Amino acid sequence: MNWTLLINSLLVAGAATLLAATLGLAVALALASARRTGRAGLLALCVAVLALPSFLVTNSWIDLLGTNGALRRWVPLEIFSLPGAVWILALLLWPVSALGIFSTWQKLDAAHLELDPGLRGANLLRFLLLPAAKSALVISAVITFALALNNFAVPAILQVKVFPAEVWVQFNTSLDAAAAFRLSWPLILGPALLIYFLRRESLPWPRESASDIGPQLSRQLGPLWLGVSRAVCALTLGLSLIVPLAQIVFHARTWSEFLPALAAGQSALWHSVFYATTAAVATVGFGALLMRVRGLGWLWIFFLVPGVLLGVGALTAFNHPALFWFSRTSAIVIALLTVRFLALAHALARSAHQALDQNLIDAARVNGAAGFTLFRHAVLPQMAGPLAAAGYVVFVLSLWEVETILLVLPPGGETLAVRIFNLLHYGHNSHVNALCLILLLVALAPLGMFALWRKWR
Amino acid sequence: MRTLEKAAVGPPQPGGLPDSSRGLRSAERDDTPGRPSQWFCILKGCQSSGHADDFWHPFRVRRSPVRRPGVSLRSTPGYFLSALQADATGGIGFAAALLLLAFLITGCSPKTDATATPLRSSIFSHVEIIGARGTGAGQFNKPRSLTCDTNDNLYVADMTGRIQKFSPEGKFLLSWQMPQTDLGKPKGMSCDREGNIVVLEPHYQRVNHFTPDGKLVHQWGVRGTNAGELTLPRAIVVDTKGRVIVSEYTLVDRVQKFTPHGERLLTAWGTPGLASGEFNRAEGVGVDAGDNIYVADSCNHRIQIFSPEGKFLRTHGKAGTGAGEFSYPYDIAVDEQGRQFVCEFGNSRIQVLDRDDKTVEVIGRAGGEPGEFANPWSVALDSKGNLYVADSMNHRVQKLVRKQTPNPKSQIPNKFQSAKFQDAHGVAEGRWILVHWNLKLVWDLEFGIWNFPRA
Repeated sequence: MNWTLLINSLLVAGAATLLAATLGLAVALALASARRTGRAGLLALCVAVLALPSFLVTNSWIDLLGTNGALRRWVPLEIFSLPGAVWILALLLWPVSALGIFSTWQKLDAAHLELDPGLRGANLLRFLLLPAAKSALVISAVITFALALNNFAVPAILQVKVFPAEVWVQFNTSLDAAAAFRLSWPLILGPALLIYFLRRESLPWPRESASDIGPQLSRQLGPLWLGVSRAVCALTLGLSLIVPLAQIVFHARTWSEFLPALAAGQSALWHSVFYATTAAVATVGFGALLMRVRGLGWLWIFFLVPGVLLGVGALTAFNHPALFWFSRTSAIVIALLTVRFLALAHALARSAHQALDQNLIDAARVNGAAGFTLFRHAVLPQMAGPLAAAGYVVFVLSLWEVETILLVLPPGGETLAVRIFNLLHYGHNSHVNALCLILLLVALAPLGMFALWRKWR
Repeated sequence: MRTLEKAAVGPPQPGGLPDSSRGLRSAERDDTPGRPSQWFCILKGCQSSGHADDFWHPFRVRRSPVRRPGVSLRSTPGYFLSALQADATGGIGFAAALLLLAFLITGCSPKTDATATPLRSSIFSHVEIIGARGTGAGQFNKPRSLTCDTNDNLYVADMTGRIQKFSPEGKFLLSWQMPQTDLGKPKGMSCDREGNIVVLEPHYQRVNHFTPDGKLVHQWGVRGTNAGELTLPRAIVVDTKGRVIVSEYTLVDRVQKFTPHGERLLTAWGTPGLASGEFNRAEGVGVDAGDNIYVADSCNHRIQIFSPEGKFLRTHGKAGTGAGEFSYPYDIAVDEQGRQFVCEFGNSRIQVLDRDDKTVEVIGRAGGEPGEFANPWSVALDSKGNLYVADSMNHRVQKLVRKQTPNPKSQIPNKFQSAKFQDAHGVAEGRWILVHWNLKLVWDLEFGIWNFPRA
């Protein structure tokens, strides 16, 4: 056992969880006390933070707090350090807590708030909101801890010695898979325990709610708590979303390097799109086929363990001359991405399946619809949206994915994310900004196309 | 200064260590530059008998699915599923679809060849493969730098943090481990005037001079951003007078020129930027016979050329995939004729340009076969003009063997004598000159013709 690595990993994951949970709690308070329209926008921003690739956020903070960083003079934080990793991980992961806690508070109604006239200000927090959110807070914190413990990109770029980064460095140096797995057992055990203990828990997630306690909650919270929560919310969103995006967009050289980066990165761009699209289609396809199958919670292990372990495993298993037709082609990349995100697609497809309107299906059947006709006219319209959303989520995550595919990319199969990761390893430069911008635009392209399609329709 | 023990090494392995495996089926060779890469082949279904329609056919759902025990027809997705699994043909169709998917995706598998493979090139006759993925003797893990010594032995640095030495025939000779690799692995190599191997350690900001058998004889470099100090040096080259040229990246984007053992800074130039004389990650440097300095300005996708004193002379190239365009040029080597061999990390190819910066030819494309590259990182020329390429993501070195040119010595009478010659381009080394009856003629090695010298 490498105790230094273990202590570093626990320190980084623990501190990041603590900070993320605190920020998440404040944002959840701001979400819950917001009006319906503002809340929708805030929720969208929270999800956007969750969807941001970690290398993009790291890139921005290296530029701001790196050796020549713009903020270095005022902020004495060395970004290439454990605190630096904690800071970035907390900024990436606070939405887990925020969304989890908020979804629990959504279940409260006006009657809860009116239970006692004394439920105001700090008392409201202490005697109602926090006890109500306790379970969600614990679950969110555990998930945040697991994600922080197994995050690869942030510590690898910042060259912080924690388990995932060190496993990568060791394997990349010695190609010793057995040693890599020996070193990384905590990274497998942690998610395995998480899945085991949460197997019967329903993960909190915001839903459309009929009741709106926002105005009442904001009144009872009082101006102090309301102001603090909203200020922290604005600051958190600013630091984790606005700052990284603004750093990219408003950097003059980002735009001067945009077209050259695009011209030089055509191959990487198409690889990114090809892998992400194929993986999304395959994952959603398999997720839909398996949506009636129960007991597939263990699939989450592939999502929660560091992707680099999947890469090491795949390389070890398939790097054999007889299997080069698989291991040295795009097939292994698509297969790994599918395996990694299958749990997500399966969960979303299963959720969509459970939400099917059986009355509508029965009505269609009574009217003579059967087989494919029934599927096409009664089921598909209900499931198409959720399945498309699942596909988009997998598409975006596959676009960002680096660690899983880094070791198994076929010759010439470099993706934009991998290129950014490789360039970032040697420090930030504006060229990376341009590449990040291209990647963001690619991620937004399906949404744009969808909007155009709806308008045209 | 420290002395290193030569590391014990395993039994020498054959120089050509390519894996002899072949894919499920071999893709036909097509050496046309700019051939679409693998994924495009997949989209097109190249060389496959399956058309896209054939691919989707097995997924078509029967209109009258058979009810099966255990599958509820209350749920139409279950119905859909049962339709797919309804009978044996459905199952077979599903399996066939999966096989076809794998077939289409993997149809363009790379093939490798254990023997020397002919190369379609006007300069090189064939390509030889040295090494394969691994950490054993003669194997590579992402080779990033290489150089040749005065005896044409090859030295390669890879991600294992060791330097491996190969004979000119590609036979593994010995290796030694860099003493410190915690912060990062060595990257950047050259050969100094004494025949020692110069190895950069970017993360330790220092330059090491090793004897050809791995003994450390000089080490220099001070961390810092001031002139004469080093910050993440990326590339190194030694000019004909033994002076050491180092490029750097991150906090500074510049090139510095030192005395042979780094005792003194001679000149330094460059700042971060896009303009002429500015750099954006200068990943490779080379020198020509006149000691002009060629800088592979990788993130600006261009080559910049400077005089020995660091004065900007010219630049060429822009981002792209066509001839004369570059995608992340990571290294450059210049031969005696002034030809530039640029390895493009992004386009996975080698581009050859003449002394006037015109593209002569493009060698290779992305792939795993001999003559194809996956993110080549470094190039080096030996004295015979053979080009070694660190084919990093294929975890091998490729040796592009120069075509045999008529030996001028065998054709030229004794009356002819060799001399260095100054022509309009400033370089004419290696040419033969006739001094007879007051007649002066030059045998041009490059074009194989006699020519009149220019004053």
